[in-house]
Amino acid sequence: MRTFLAVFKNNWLRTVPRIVSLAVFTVFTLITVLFSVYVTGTQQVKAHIVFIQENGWAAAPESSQALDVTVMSEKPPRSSLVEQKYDAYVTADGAGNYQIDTLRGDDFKSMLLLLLEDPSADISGIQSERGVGVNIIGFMMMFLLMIAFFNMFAFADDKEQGQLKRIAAAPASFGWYLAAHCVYCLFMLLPEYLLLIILKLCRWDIGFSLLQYAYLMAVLAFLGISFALFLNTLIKKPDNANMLGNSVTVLSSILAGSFYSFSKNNAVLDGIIKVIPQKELMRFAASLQNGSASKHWGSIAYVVLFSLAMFVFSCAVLRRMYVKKV
Amino acid sequence: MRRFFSIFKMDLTNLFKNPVLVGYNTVFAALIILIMGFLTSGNYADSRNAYQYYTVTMLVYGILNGAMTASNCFMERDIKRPNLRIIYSPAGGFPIYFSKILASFVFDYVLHILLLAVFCPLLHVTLGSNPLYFIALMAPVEFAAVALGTFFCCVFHCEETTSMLLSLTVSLLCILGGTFFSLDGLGPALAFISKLSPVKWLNDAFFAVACDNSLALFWPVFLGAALISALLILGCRLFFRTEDYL
Repeated sequence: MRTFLAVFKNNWLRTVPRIVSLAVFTVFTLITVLFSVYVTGTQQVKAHIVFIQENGWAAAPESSQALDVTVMSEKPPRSSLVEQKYDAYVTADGAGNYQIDTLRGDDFKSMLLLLLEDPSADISGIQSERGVGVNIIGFMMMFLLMIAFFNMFAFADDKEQGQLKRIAAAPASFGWYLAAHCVYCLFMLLPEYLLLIILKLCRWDIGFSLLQYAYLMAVLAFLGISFALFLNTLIKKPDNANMLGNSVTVLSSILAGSFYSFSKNNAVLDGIIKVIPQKELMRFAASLQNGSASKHWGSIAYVVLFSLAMFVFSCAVLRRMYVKKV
Repeated sequence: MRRFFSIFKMDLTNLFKNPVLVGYNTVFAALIILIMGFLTSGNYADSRNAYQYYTVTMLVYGILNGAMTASNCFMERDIKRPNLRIIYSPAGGFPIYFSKILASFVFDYVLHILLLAVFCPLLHVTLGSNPLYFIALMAPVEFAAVALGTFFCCVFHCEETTSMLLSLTVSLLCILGGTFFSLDGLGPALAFISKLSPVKWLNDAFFAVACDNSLALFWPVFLGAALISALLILGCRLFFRTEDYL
């Protein structure tokens, strides 16, 4: 226990010179959380279209909650479509038939036609909406994992500079030493949680309850910590471990659909995505939002087991590398 | 002139010998275009358009990241001491920073053109009916980015600070400018913020050249970037003090 307190305190002292990078990271994460709340609030608009009144008499369709219509006399350049400034250009012929010029797929076209003919049409079945809670967790995920990685710097430095050998040889508990690093990493996620508490107190809609956020974030933190420990154990240089870890985190989070859900009918890619723990966590969050969480405990158990496996493996390797050899 | 040329040649070979920088400007850029294009191709009926979007935006991102190439070329640990020796030589101070600017510019420009030459036929990405306009428009922007990196180095005298500050600013402006995903569809407030980002203006100009064959934004961006480059070089002259190396 004394080891734990000493290491824990020491970690805080070692954070001080790095406070700027840490602050930048944290502020970025906080901004993303706010951003995700904002984006979810404005996602009802399904399409931004330009209605082109060529001969001046065709009545433009009205803007509605789902449709944002801009009326122009001639077509804007094509680059606006590629840039996604607008989703489609619509013209009407004499009989009131709409011609749609879009770069997007047929699903979108049929949805747009439906909306043009009846602005209040129910299109909720066509595109599944992600709730605010799922969005917050998804947007936060990559940053939380990266922060957990960043906060393992103390352990990585100890290992690189050979302090770990001395700690293993000293009358200090190796288990408590590792525990101190883990608890320290958990503590560093407090600002994000505080922001959620503040949002909740300000009566913003954040989707899940604070308890639900607490365990979702704890699971995420555990995943990040185990991954950081795993890579730092296997790779000697902290710089390399850091770079590899960050790229893996970014890539796997994007693939898992934390920002955007993708459905690609590609067997290889689907197979890869299935293994990614972040994907299962997203699935669990989605089921939590739909109220069917009790059926999906397997998903979160998978994440925990995945992390546990990495954690136990790293501990075993560390034990062999240091405790038994010294 | 001969003195300048020998420094320049050394800087250029140094850059091409750096595997991290070469990899960043070729392999990494290619991978990110492919991955982002592939992942978002569901947004378009024709996946070519997704690659078109990310080829242009990521190219702008790469061009702006040239500032980091310059700061690396200028103030890397191993290069600071040779710089000191040049100060003592009869070449003087000006060739030091100007050759770094020119070398980083040539390095980035060549690699980006190579990237485009490989990618455009491969992914069926169009650069407009006359690709020369697109490539000509890249030049002053690359130069301005590189000069910005050098200018920051002259002001802060430290590679780490420069890289951190610049990469943060560039990333932020790029996110706001719609490099990774378009902000135009995410509500009027964000669309407005997006319009404020200079990266958005650059993207607009490059998209106009590539997709519409329109040169309406060509000269404003070209001349603006050239003017900024000139100002930044002037700034380097003001802030580059040989005493900082001692």
